[in-house]
Amino acid sequence: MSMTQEAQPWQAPEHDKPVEQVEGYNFAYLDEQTKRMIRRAILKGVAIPGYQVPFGSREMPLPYGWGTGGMQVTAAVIGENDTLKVIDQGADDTTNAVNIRRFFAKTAGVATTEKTSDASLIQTRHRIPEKPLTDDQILIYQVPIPEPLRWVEPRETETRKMHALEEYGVMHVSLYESIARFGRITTAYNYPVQVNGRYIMAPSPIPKFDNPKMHQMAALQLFGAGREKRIYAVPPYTDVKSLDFEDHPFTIQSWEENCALCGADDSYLDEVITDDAGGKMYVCSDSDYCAERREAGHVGDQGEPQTPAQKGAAE
Amino acid sequence: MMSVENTTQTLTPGFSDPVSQSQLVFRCLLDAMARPGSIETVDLDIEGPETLDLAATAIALALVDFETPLYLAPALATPAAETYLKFHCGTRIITEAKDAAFGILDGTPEDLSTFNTGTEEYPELGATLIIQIETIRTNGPLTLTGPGIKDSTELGLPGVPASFWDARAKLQRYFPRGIDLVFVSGAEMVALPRTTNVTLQSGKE
Repeated sequence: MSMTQEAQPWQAPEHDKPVEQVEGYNFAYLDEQTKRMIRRAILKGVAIPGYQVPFGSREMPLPYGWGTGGMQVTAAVIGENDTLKVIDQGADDTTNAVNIRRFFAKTAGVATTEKTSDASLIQTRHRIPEKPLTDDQILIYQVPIPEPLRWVEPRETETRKMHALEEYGVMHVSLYESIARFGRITTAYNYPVQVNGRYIMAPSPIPKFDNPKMHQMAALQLFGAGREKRIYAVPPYTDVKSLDFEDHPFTIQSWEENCALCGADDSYLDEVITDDAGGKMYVCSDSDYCAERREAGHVGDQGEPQTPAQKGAAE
Repeated sequence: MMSVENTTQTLTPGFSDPVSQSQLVFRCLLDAMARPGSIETVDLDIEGPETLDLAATAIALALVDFETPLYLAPALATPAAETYLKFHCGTRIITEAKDAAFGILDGTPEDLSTFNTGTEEYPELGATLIIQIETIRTNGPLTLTGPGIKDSTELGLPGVPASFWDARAKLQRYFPRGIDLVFVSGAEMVALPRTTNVTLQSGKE
């Protein structure tokens, strides 16, 4: 390949072109009886914040672990007028996100977007968008292991009883053991929270950086675990407290670097290896947040100016 | 044969577009349940049974089916209403309040504890009660706090006696067991899930 080859304008790859709604499926894939059952579970989840409601999880046309729980919740909630955004680790353009977005464009014919502020429903795998969500939005999490006590007690019969009796001492013991061994709580993601002062809940494997965003969030938060067959919820404006100790208060990750593309110092950064000689850069995990900042004129250490004025200045 | 003819004569249609309309009603109720005290309106035209408010009919059509036994208060349980709900929802109409997943009532019940409150281990089994009242108002005398409410909000449910709020507050001590309430009036609904704390400003009802 010639080094002098001129840069081509970016074009969406074939798999990311807009799709037409396909015929032969019910709206949003699931049948109506299944949706009713899921909807009833969601409503009880909202009424009992942080409690995991069992539901009859269906087989979806993709494997467990790819967001079947989140998709079933989305399918039960979504309507013709919704605009759907799907993110995977903060990015709109990764395989999981692209496929789920196309799935609902095909089976429900709904509008999709990559812009956080344009979306009425956001299905997410392992991140909360950096931009604060609003009253009009619903955030739907894909959850692999919904039971926060599962790592300390493998039996469902026992964890169910522990939740019933609010018997959560063992959870604090496990955090204490981490402090005794390493001098700090080493849990960096899926960091357990207590909802409305009652149920201990797994926030799904979001980085603990995102935990404070769950507290008193304006948007409704729904959680779906397909393989484990559980749905749970956090209503808007609800207390969500990350577990900690007085002498070891909860802290979030921070970086010495800023985003290399947009210069953000307040977002969750991914480390990207750029060569095999130890080269690396840190970039925003939330691709829409980063793109919006760059469009607004922010430039990081390795970013390129986006607006015509800045390009002119650079030349 | 006579009974079949009677049925078809009195039976009015359910949703004209079940897929999109049940989603619409569910989202109304989800918004109501997620934001207690906010009044949601079902923007639909359904010719339901005479004894049922539009919002009550809509919720039943959207969420009740063969898995969820339905309790109908005696005053609402006309043959037309029973036939309608049995036909469109495929549900069982029961007279034993304890066994109901959903209940439709005219006014607040004398004794809330006759309904299922679920168990500590399975609190989601607690009933959802749809309670028909005359009007729903946005201004007091009720002050609501709890999940879904930013700081606090006001609500007026005229006709609901003070004793009902006392009984409900007593029931709340058994959280997570509890009963979730949806008050409806015409096309309007407002939800009070078991987590919502209701205080009645003194001297008013």
